[in-house]
Amino acid sequence: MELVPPVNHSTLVQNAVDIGVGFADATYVYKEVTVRRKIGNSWKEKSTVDFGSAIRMVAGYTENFMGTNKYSEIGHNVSRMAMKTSRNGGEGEPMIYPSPAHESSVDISADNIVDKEYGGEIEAYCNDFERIFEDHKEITYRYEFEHSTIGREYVSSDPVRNTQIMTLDLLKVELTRRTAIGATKLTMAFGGVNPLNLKLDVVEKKITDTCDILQRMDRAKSIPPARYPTVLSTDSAWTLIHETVGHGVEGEGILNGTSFLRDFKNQMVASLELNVIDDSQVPSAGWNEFDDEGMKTKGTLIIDNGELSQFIHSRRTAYLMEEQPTGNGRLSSYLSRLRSRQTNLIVEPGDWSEEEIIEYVGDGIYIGPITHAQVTLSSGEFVMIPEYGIRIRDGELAEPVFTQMVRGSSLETLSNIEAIGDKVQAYPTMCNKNGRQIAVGMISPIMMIRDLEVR
Amino acid sequence: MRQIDEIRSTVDEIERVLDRANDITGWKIYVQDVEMSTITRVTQGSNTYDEQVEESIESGIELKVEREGEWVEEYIFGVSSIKNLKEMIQSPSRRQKIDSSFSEIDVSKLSRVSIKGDGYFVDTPIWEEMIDDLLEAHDSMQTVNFNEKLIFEKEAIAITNHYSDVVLSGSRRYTAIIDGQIMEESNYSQGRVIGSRSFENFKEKFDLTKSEIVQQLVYMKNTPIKILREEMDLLIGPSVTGEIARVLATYFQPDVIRDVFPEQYTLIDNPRRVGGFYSYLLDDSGKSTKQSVLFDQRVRNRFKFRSFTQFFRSYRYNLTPHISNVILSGGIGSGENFTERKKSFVKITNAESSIIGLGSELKVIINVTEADQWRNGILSHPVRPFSIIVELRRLFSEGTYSNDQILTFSDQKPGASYTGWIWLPSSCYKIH
Repeated sequence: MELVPPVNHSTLVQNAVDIGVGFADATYVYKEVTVRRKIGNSWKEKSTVDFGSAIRMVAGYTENFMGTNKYSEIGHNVSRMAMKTSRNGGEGEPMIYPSPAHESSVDISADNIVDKEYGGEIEAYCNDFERIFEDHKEITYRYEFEHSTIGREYVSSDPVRNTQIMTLDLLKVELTRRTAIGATKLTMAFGGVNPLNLKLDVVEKKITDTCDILQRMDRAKSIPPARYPTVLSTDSAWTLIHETVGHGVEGEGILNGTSFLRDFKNQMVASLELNVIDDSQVPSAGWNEFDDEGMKTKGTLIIDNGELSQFIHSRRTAYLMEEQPTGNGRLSSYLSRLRSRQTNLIVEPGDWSEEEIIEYVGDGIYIGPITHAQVTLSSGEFVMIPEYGIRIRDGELAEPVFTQMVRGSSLETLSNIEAIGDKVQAYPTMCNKNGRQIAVGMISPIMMIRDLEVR
Repeated sequence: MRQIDEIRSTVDEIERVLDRANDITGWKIYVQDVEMSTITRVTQGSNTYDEQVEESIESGIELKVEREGEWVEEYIFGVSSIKNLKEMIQSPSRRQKIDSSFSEIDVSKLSRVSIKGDGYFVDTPIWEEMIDDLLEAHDSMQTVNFNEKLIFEKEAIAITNHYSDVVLSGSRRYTAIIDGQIMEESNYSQGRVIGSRSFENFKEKFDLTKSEIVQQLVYMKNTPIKILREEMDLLIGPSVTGEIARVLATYFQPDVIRDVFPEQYTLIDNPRRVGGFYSYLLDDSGKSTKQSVLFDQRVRNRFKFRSFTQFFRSYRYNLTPHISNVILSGGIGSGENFTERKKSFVKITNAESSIIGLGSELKVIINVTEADQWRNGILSHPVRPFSIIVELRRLFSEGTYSNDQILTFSDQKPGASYTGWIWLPSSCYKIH
């Protein structure tokens, strides 16, 4: 695929600089999505083509933003915004971290697994996929394939230009088990920029495990609210770290003083077992060779053996805090302002096997995937709503239980991590913050928390 | 070019392409054009401030195509990508049958409710002139950190089909949010939103609200105290009751709502509230809106299923039913009077809440971010953030609900609520 923006963004950026802003950049975003869904024996298809431009201007302390997909009046609108920006910001040095000059182009839009193994025959893949459910007749399922091609071109008033093209393949599955007392529904996603995550054996293992749990859910009972020794599954362990550490170290929250982690740099915030890395070079859903403001991405060690070693920054938050940018400037779409956001958040594996952790817990709760999680960033209080729990008795997984929620204080919970599993699993997921959704990679092992409130 | 002319020419362009395709027998088109401008000013201490302008200008199309009597394809475009339309609709591989989200609409009736004419989109200079006046620095602001936001939104939509039925409508909206609190919201529109309001008193109201909030912020700089035990009654504000009403109305079935509210309460979704934040004459499917009663003890058996009469969408998303103005009424007196009658309590003005649990055991977790303590009728101290858990049924049955109708809404989800204050005895909640 070749990116051909409808207007020359370098000219737009230069116009803004000529009018008087100190710094301007523009990102052209092209997105083409095809969703194929099988209902009964027929296929439904929905196609989306959408592209637009995100333009940012900085003069002194002032930073203004414009996102548009209407190109008929873009020159006029950019000039109007530039005049407003230069008037408010004055002629001082633009407060944004300068980028080293470079020009590059990256294209990783490789064929997906369906093309490679089935010669493009999606129906053949689906026939194999549907065979997974032959042993699980009580489970009803729906699934869809989403194939996206995403292209970005970044230009700025610094001598920087890069283009990046990628494909993202997702298989979304929804499983439902109906019983006399109601229906239990679980959703999951596979894929990312790495087609290996769509391999049938990977998909089959997770679906089979989940179906087994669902089949036992009709005998599940609620548990008395209490603090339990708790084992968090891959999904729930990652969600805990993503909500507390991930959102807690994002540059804007630190800069505005709204994050509970703002004063904890170079201090212990978690148990010695915990190491957390944000790395967009890993081929998962949050992959980016360059971030959305032209910085080369790299791995950022956020938690180093329990110590908070680094925040994640865009160029602007890095400048204002006198730190180095970490390549985390991300746009959720061309319509919303750039923010420092997570990419692929990786929890480093520990030394414990899953069996060892469950045996060590003895009597406690295993928490399944999370449907919804929320953290109050100012205080660090978090709530996670799990899809199910499993009672641990005598060092073994016993019956499934209904769990309404898991809650606690972030710093206390992080310091209560006692054991981390030795095997990581990777899944694509979406992070929604203030209505702005981005794809992030979930890479985590299971972990054990000594003492966590479950009800 | 004005919004209405732009979407008309877009529709014309699409129709020309579709007319040339021989095997296309029908189409349905939804065109949306939205311009939103947000100005945020953050004041930090001694009159230093950061002013940010954010503008989004977008237009898009949802198109469904009928070939040989079957609705087979569905497309979504950003407006500038119409040039791809021709090659896409000529592709022979796109022959699968699809569900059509338009199927809920009786398109043949659209023309009966059409609003036509350019008068709805008369440009106004008010916005540009208003900004500088509204955002002037306040005398008392030198010692507090403060943020204010002004949002201007204008939208035009067109819904049309191959029978040339057409609905054109549009709206304008001005909103001021001062330190997280929504000022009396003002609508200025013709056509789509009911009840135009004059901007004559807008600046006076804005200044008054801002002045009150600044005084509160100056007071909040006092050393906050920590609440450790459930010894004080709570006065819970509309930010919490509004969130509960919106979540219950959106996600829960009527039998659950029935378990939560005692019989004196009524929960209504009214898209035709005069001057309401989410008031619409026509919804996004082109149909005329009407009020729906979600809970009313007197008519409880009539409502077996949740149903909203109005649908909302963007060109990016399918048509989905959604709440408009949810009104929870059935209280007594005003919330301000509660503070006169009672002597010692904690007043919660800002909080985030989430509902957990199943069936009749629903609970609400309230993470309080702004509150203050009153002792012997006097405002004594601000309170540090704390969180409580309350059974929803007890909140409404043992708490005393006021009959205020104060507007709150969420940035992230459509819909607004008009709710009052709740006085909650100390025996009804638990601190975490």
